[in-house]
Amino acid sequence: MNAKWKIAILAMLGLSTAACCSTKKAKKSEDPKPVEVEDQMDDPRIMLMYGVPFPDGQVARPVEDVVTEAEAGGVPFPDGRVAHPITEEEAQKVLEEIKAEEAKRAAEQAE
Amino acid sequence: MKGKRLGIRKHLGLKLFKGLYDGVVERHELRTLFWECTLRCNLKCRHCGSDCRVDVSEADMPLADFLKVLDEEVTPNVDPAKVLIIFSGGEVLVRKDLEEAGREVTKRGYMWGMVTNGMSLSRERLHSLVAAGLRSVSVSFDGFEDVHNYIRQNPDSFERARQAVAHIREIKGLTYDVITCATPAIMERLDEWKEFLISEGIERWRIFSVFPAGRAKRDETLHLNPEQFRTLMEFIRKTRKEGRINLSYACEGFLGGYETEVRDNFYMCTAGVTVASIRVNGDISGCTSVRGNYAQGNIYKDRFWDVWQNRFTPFRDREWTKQDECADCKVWEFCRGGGMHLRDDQGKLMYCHYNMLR
Repeated sequence: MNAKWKIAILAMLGLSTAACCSTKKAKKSEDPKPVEVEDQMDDPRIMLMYGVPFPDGQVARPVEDVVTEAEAGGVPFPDGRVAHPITEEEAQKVLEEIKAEEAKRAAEQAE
Repeated sequence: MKGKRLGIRKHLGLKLFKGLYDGVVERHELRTLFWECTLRCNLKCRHCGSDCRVDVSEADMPLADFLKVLDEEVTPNVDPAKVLIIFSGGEVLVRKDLEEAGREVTKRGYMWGMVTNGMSLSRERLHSLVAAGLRSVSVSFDGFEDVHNYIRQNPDSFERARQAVAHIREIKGLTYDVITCATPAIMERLDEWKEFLISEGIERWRIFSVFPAGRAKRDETLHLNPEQFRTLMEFIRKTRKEGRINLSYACEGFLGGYETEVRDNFYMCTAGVTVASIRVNGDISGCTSVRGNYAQGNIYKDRFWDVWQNRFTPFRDREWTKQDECADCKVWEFCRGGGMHLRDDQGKLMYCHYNMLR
């Protein structure tokens, strides 16, 4: 399963923002004043123990329930289809498929 | 009170994220670079996470030494716009050349930020730092006056931190947050403290809890028991749902059923994966919070980029953490042995957040 599919399924679970995020990219400047920034999709920016927030000007916002977030609309899949929120049973099925895949890989490695 | 259990949806999410995280480890892109520019400090906090075995008479690293590494080793290998440089300490404001350091890194295309206790952050100093390119700042703010001053061991520290935050809020576009160390004393008044922060106009808040290292190891008044820790998780969860203030728990430890509910992202320890630090003595390591003996090289003897590329195996491959209580743990695949800063000199886990919630 490639990364795009994983993100798509995470989106259906309402968890895509926890796995990747839109960050800001600074533009190089000779001016010592604050640099301009532009949007960019990226790996998650983790708030480090002794770190500072990534400079993005983000403000407080309500955090919706994960289910509500997923139910808010369909999720575009990498192949252009639109999928809808995943049910508990479907989640269990996908989880089992992943576990089977992992077990197969482990068995192959053992050989 | 019982901890929140890990449901099937989240379990699946973690499984999928695990695969994505392997990609992050594989890419091993430098995204955050700490420069521990000084160990000097104007406070002597009870919970200080700095390695107490380090002699505080250790001289500050000359700016030229840091810039040499930046110019010869880092900049040729990264896109500076993607790397956030964090000046850390000690207390960074004791350095008189902080503005010069800021101007130099900004000139090279990096964004930079700093963590401060706010003791000497006057309006004038702040404006001068912003003019030198400061983009993000975190201020330690541990609770009401009695609580904060007890931890900081200084009768003026609360008021100074409060003023510092007020000055920061005046600067449009400057990203900031306040950091609270959750101790038993503030746990009893967390709701009240939240209302206070909101009334001060603070929009972003981070909470961490003490782990047994540095001075905090011996001070029982700072440690949360499992019940208090679960209460803290519930408080953060509830506050995030309210949406009145953007609150997160720090990057420490895997939190089981609370994953994604008390932080924006799934747990991962990025020390040495996307994060490096140059310590005051030149040591090259992951996060500054990781113990000194995990250094993988030193800028005065080794090439930084070579160390980053070839010697960070203990950070990138955490298989070695599968020992003791982690050996048979069913969530190891998601947690990978917890934060590197929670490992002692022998590699043993000092504190498990997941166990605290069980």
